[in-house]
Amino acid sequence: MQEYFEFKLPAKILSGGGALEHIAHELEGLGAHSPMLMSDAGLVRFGVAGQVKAAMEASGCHPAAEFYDVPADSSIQVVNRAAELFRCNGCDSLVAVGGGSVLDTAKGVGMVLAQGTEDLRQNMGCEALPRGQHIPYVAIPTTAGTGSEATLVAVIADPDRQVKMEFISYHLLPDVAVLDPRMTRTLPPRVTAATGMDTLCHAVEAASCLQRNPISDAFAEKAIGLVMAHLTDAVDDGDNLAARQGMANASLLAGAAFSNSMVGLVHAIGHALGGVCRVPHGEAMNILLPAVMRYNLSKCGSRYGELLLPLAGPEIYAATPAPERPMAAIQAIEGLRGRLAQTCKLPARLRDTGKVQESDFDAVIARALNDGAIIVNPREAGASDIRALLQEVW
Amino acid sequence: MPMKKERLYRVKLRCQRAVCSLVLTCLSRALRGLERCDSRVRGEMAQWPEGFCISMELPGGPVLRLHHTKSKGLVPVDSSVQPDVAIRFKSVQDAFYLCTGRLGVAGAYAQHRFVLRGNVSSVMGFVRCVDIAEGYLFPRFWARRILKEVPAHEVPAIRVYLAVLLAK
Repeated sequence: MQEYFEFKLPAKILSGGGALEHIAHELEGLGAHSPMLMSDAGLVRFGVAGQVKAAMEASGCHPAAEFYDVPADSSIQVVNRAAELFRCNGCDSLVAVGGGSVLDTAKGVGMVLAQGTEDLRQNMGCEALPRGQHIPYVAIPTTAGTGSEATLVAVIADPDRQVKMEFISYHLLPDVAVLDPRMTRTLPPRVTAATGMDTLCHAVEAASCLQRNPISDAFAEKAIGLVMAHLTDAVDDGDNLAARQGMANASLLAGAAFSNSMVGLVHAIGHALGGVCRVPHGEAMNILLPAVMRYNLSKCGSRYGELLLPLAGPEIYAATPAPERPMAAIQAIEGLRGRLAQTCKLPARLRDTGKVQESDFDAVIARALNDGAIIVNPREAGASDIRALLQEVW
Repeated sequence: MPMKKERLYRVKLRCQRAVCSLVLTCLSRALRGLERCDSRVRGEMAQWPEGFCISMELPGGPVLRLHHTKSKGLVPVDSSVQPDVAIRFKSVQDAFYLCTGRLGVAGAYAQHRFVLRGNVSSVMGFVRCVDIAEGYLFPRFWARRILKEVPAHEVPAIRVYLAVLLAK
């Protein structure tokens, strides 16, 4: 544990059935009357974005503009187009409905507007951004995985230079996070499982990396408990609103945890697998988490041992001798992974994703080594270590 | 009495600033020396884009600005060269912790001791180079406290000390 830490979670959290119907009230409280509604084409087609719009309009808040053109990987061009629409329609706030890409795009739009900048590249970095003009931002996640509604991070691509730009600033945090179980109800089982494992990975890495602190630990441990309690139920029965709500809460808690303590090697390799081979992020997390935990055992075994309590419950924790708890924690995650593999064929090995060749490893390693997440991993990882991990999960 | 405390505090800050200035100069010379004699540092720097410039800054100075080219290698430059990446310590004390080996770069990052302006991924290679330099400059028992893993020495540490002392 570090001797000095910082923690920030300014978002008001609206969690539960009927949360959507409170958005108009929250915007009013923030002094906003002309929001721009953002989402993606898929969510418009499934009626999810429309549901939010209807809930807002029913409470007397009509979006002044709507932007539904967010692709899976957002880019500078998308952000600039959305910011232009915002300005042209005299909007004063952002309401974003979607997964990580939509929520990150909204953060980018907020950044462009708040800083009055033309070139987003000038804002790249970590904690270097000044506050600028405040653009009220309401985030409504439609997956229970990224935790973007509670994080200070936005990732936006720069296609011209073929890089993903990372922005880390407390000023990117939303003002309001809306967790309504209706938003994740239509998620297919495999996506539910993969995003749920992303949540678990956020929590485990936040709870064990160098930047962990007592407050992020509390958030992470609760998130782990919620994932273990609700993920399989949410996968088995998507209409189980209690399970959906539990997972939405877990995702936010894990997001808040890693926003304030960062993630580690699982994410560094996972980002690289996504960038080089297009492996879905949640699937990469599912594949890598136990292997990286075994790799880190020598540095944070006792911490993993403590995580057995939320992972397996008090009875198993009490019945397991202390030296065996770290391995038991990893086995608990492997047990969950096994159940998810059975119910929705979530791949547990890289080759089963059908997207990776062994010849891709060099490119994956080079990218993972330069990922910012690697710096707070508790154990140093070099090229040969990452190669060994990739071989292990191949 | 409060005046005396304030004066002492200001003296302490001046001393810390002077120590940081000295250590940043030593670090710059160590990195230049290591580029010649350590394959890992040479390998990292070879991957940097031509003309890559990185700076480490304390509020109110000093500033260490390093510019890398294929022909000249790593050289310190003045503030007329715009850095691609800037590491800016939040306070003199934060820089002092890093410069005196109370914290490694990873620890300083984890404790929010500095902000970073520029592409995060482009600074990771520099961080690895600093870790290697610290592995040479600090005694092993000390390096173990601040580094996740103490890098093996490819050359005797005396060569790095000589590079620092002789500025070669």
